[in-house]
Amino acid sequence: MILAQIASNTSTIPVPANDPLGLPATQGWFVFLMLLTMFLHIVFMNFVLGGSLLALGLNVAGYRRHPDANRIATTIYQAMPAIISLAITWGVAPLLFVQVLYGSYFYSANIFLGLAWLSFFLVVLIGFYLAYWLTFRGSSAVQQRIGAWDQLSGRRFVVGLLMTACFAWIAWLLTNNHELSLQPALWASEGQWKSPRWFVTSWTTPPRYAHNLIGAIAVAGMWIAAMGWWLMSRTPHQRESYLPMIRFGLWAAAVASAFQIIVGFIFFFAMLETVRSELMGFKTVFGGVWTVTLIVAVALPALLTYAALHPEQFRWFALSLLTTVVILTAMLLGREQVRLSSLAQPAAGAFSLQQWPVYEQPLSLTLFVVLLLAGLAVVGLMMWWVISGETTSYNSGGKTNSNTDDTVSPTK
Amino acid sequence: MDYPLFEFPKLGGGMLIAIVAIIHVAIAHLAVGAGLFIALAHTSAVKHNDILLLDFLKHYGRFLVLLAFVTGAVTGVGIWITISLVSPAATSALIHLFVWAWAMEWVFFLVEITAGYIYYYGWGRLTPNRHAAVAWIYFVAAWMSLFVINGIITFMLTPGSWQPPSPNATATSQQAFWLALFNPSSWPSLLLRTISALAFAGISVAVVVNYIRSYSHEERQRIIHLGSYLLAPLGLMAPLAAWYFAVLPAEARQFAFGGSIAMTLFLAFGIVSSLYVGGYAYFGLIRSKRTINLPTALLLLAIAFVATGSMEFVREGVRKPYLIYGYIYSNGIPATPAWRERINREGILAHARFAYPPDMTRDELYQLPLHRLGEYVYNAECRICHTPGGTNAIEPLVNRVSRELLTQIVGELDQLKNYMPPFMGTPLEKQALVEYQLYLVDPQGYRPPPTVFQPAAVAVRATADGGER
Repeated sequence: MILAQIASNTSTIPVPANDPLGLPATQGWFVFLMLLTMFLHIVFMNFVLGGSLLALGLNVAGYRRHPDANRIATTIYQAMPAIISLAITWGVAPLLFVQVLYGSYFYSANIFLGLAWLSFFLVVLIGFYLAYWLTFRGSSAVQQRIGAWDQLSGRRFVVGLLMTACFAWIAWLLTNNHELSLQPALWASEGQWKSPRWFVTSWTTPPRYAHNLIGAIAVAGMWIAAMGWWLMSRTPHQRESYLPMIRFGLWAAAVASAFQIIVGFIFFFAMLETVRSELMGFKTVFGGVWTVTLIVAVALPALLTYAALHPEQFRWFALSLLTTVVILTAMLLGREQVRLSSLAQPAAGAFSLQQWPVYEQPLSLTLFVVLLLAGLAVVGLMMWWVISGETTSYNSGGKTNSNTDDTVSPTK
Repeated sequence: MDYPLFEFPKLGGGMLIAIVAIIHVAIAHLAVGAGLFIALAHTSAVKHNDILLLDFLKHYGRFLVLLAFVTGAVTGVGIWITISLVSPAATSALIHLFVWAWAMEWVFFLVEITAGYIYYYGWGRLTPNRHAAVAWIYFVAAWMSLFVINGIITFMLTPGSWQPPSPNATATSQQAFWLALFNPSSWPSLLLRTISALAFAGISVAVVVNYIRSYSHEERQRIIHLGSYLLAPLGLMAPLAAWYFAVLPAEARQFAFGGSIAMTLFLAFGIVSSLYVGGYAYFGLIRSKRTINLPTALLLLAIAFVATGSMEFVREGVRKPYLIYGYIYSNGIPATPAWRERINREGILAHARFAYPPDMTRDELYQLPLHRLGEYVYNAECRICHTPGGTNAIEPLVNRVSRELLTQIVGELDQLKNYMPPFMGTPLEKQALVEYQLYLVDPQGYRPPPTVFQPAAVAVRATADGGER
């Protein structure tokens, strides 16, 4: 009833006004920066979420003494803490830019989720420490004392399950937050105006969540295959031992991307007709890119299947990876178009980015761009030092262990 | 004002922010100071082939990653989450004014985190000189991150001559940005925070070294002594604090020095705790080269935490009645004469649309009993700080106050208590607020007032219905 009231009378929609301080640069800058940083956040975040899910399956296989499953799971878990950190770091930037462009919708959605939204950072914290627990116990130094995780698949499954639950909950919160921020009509739902809300009664919430989860598995599959190729390039004499990892990653990506087509289809038809019409077709630039890429997306499962059947051939992996990157980019553009079209609805306050007043700060913008380029160059340089460096030449006198073990252990 | 309301049960939003912020600030400070310690120690250890120090740095790096890169980083995000829940309007203002400052800070954060991880995983993978270079990159990025954040935080208390950008503003938007970032208290605050960061790092060295069982007493003593030099700058805190307080708005300074006994006490806690840590460091660690065991090191860390927490509490507290001095009141209502006049004319409930259920029409709203209407006025103006039945609850504050006196207090709130924002709203809303407070104090014994400003109610309703929403 309330929904109908809101929908029929636009003047009653209490969407807060845009911030009077306006934007310090034209809207395009923020859209570009948000999409760019969001892309990188999603790449890392998908490994965290999808990798956790895949590692759970690998744990079950490992429990049944599957020869490669434990090793692949260990590789995933070893990489997890650093990639969680990167996912958080690259997530901060789109979190900033979404507040800049869509703050009144975003903040309102936060508040309507209330305590559930507050749980966000606490649950990330728990998941992060669980990831470290899995890493440290998987390390060679600790193994010698208390046994390695890969010999304790059952227990590792339990800890992995808890960690996965944390990240799945975060995904659930973010999905609901996004849904709420797109549909102010939901804000007026009876009895829920004071929060907290744990589930958004929208037709698009379940398929969007499923789309996010399955997409994360597909991208994580590509990560695992890429890690297999990377490890193989570092130790060519162990080539055969990494092929199962590549094969597993590509198969995971193939199956997930096939399911993604079905879920994506359901998600698409759960959207408002007006939103669909601007997404599919060439009415908008983002929608046009998304529409064209759909053809590639439909072909992706077949390409990945072929690559999985030929894991030793790098070119098929590379082509699959490139295609995945293109599709991910297009999906992000499509997601943004859905947001713009949804907020442009009268029932959502008829929002447009052009409504923002712009008070430009050209020097600040220039300084940021210079710092960003310099910062990325420094990051690249440090990573190059790690990749290209020989083993340490510290003069080990008994205190410092000059092995390549990641762990720190007293040697005295 | 026009955002929905979030209320953290019992504790209230302000306390929630304080808890998350103080934890984050302590860890973030430690991460900055630790950066300088690691950079200096690593450079020295490589130069002198100091095997003990290198071994300690491995342990210390692990401590840093597990504490600063996990809890520190995640509570940083947590602050954004909590402030945007409790004070979305002020958060939005800080975001929009300082977008590029936040963005630059994020670049430094990115470099800091990457350098930290590369330092940690770099043992056995980096040459000694490159390893030391990574440590220096980490420190510079971490300190620059502090530099930017400090500018934003201090702006909230001392915006100085900053004016909101507008087509009629005298300063350009760019000039306004610099004025805001390099506001009057930014420099003394930056130096104070840097000293605090170094102190945390120095104490944390003593904590970590005590966890390494393989070290002898002499080895432990040597590391603790090295770390103790980071505590030496604590001696500069007094003149820097004097500089800091000198540039604060006069009212804020008065709160700290006796105007608000709570703020004065917290300031005293902060000063005494800092003196204790500084005195122990100078006489015990630097001059006498004593070693300290784990419980003592943890105690020092706890005292430093109290010192930082107290000072942060004072910084937040003396800002009252504002969130951003002179721009937004602590209840999220704009602090300009124009808004005050408008709200007094149109009513707060014409603007605070989420203070009452969205399915309620204006007619239904104004037909409510006065104390029920007052609950919604309370939601709009008071609830962000005064959680009913919880922290800073209103009931004990208005207990035994008569209807007449309470009406007068609410009407002249900002003049009677200069840490309170003024009441804004129509006479009907004011009376409704008074009635709600009386009802809260004694729900069973509450009796409605003998007379109601009915003509005003009608006038207000007519005005509000013709308003923007």
